[in-house]
Amino acid sequence: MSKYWTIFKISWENSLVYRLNFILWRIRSVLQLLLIYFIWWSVFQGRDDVFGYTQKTILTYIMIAALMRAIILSSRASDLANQINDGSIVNFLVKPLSFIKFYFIRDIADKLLNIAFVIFEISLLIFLLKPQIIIQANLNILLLTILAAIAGIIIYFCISFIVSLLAFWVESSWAFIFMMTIILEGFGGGLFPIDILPNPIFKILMLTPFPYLIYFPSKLYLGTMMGNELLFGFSVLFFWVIILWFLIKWVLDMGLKSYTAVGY
Amino acid sequence: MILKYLKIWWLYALNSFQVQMVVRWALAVFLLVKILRFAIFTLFIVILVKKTTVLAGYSLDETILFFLSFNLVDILAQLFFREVYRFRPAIVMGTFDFYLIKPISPLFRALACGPDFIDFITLIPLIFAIGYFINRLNITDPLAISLYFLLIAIGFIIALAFHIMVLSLAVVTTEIDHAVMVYRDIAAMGRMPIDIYMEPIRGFLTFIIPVGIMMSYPTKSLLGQLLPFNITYAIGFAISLLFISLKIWNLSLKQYSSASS
Repeated sequence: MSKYWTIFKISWENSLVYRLNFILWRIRSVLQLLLIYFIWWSVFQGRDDVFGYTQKTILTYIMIAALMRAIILSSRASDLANQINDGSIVNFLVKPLSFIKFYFIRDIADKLLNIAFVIFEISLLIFLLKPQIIIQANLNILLLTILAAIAGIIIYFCISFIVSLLAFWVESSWAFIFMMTIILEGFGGGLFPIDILPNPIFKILMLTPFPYLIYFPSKLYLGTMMGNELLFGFSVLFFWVIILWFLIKWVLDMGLKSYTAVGY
Repeated sequence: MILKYLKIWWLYALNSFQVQMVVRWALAVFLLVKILRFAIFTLFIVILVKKTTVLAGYSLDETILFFLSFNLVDILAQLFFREVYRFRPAIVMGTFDFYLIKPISPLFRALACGPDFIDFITLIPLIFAIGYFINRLNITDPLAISLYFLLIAIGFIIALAFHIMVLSLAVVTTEIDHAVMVYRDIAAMGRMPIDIYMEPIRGFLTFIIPVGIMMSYPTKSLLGQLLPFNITYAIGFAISLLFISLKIWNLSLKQYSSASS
């Protein structure tokens, strides 16, 4: 266990080596949030209800989605693709470490750092922009939101890890990483709650893992999901957690079997 | 002089194209994903503005034209300045030394010698789409259309100045990865008309960080919403910013200490 704690500490320190880069990364997340915030803010000028959302619910959704984005959509797994391509992965293969745990611990370190900063950033924006937002006081809803966020973290880790593992077979796995990022931008729920899409598209998307990364936990926080909708959501969510967890191990095994080390 | 640089750029462009063609399926995937990204945001605009009829006072066609104009400036910048994204390794590993000893401008080498072919492919349908929406909005005044393209060029010059400043930052600090992405995110705030932002953010985005000038002014001029003062201000701002960025670049070169091993 102590070796993973050491990895955690080193990852944290690594993130802070290039401090300017880190600060710029955080500025990026604020800029992205501002664009989305103001699109929705302007939509509600002179209107009370759009797509079944009020200004208060949509701005709360946007803030929680930004929090989920920082927690869930932060992963260092894409480094793996580089390590496979340049051959430095062999350094890990000879060490007494679980490959998956190593990357997962690094991700957790990153996420904790992000949480600290994103809470500060969102609080600052709330202080400056003074939007009306929902402070959820229902403990059950908060616990369900946290549970969905934890499952989302696992799903995102698995997806990004599997996509990076494709570097075992192809030279340019960056094309797939880019594809994953864009699909998540569009259909993850960060830009807009995906239930504003036409119903058939929304229903199909809810069967994929993507909405469970941002949309589902953010919508849960609003407290508007009930009964069957909640049950269906968590069933699909846990289905994807289990499937992807087995898939990650299978793809890693297959990749290592086909791997021939190159590099220095 | 200009011919020499055009020839050098052309050789680098051919080289860059050949490198991209090595893994053709990846080129196809990148192209498809860029189209998908464009389609998703367009779908979002269509769904949103169809529901609300107007967004910040603009109709659906006008909002789409703002988005297309943003894409035109953004794609032009990415097409010509893609090399900026690859500059950090040159600084960290010391290969920037080789840029300095060659008989061409190191700024030109760091900035423009890796054009992105994928962006060139997306540029052509984009220009047709802009023409289509200008036609749909019944804008036929040649002066308005000329001013539109002049302001697109102004946006491109501001983008150039930002990229030069990002390169300078890399020379001084060796940190650039997120700096160039911060530029992209700032520019992305112009995907929608600048009027969606509340004051004082709108003023800040127009007069301090010139996203409004880069991305919104071209469409606003087409819609007849700009005064001659705004256009003069945009031209003056772009030229001043370019001048300042070149000064910063020269200063950063004086700070450079080779990092090669």
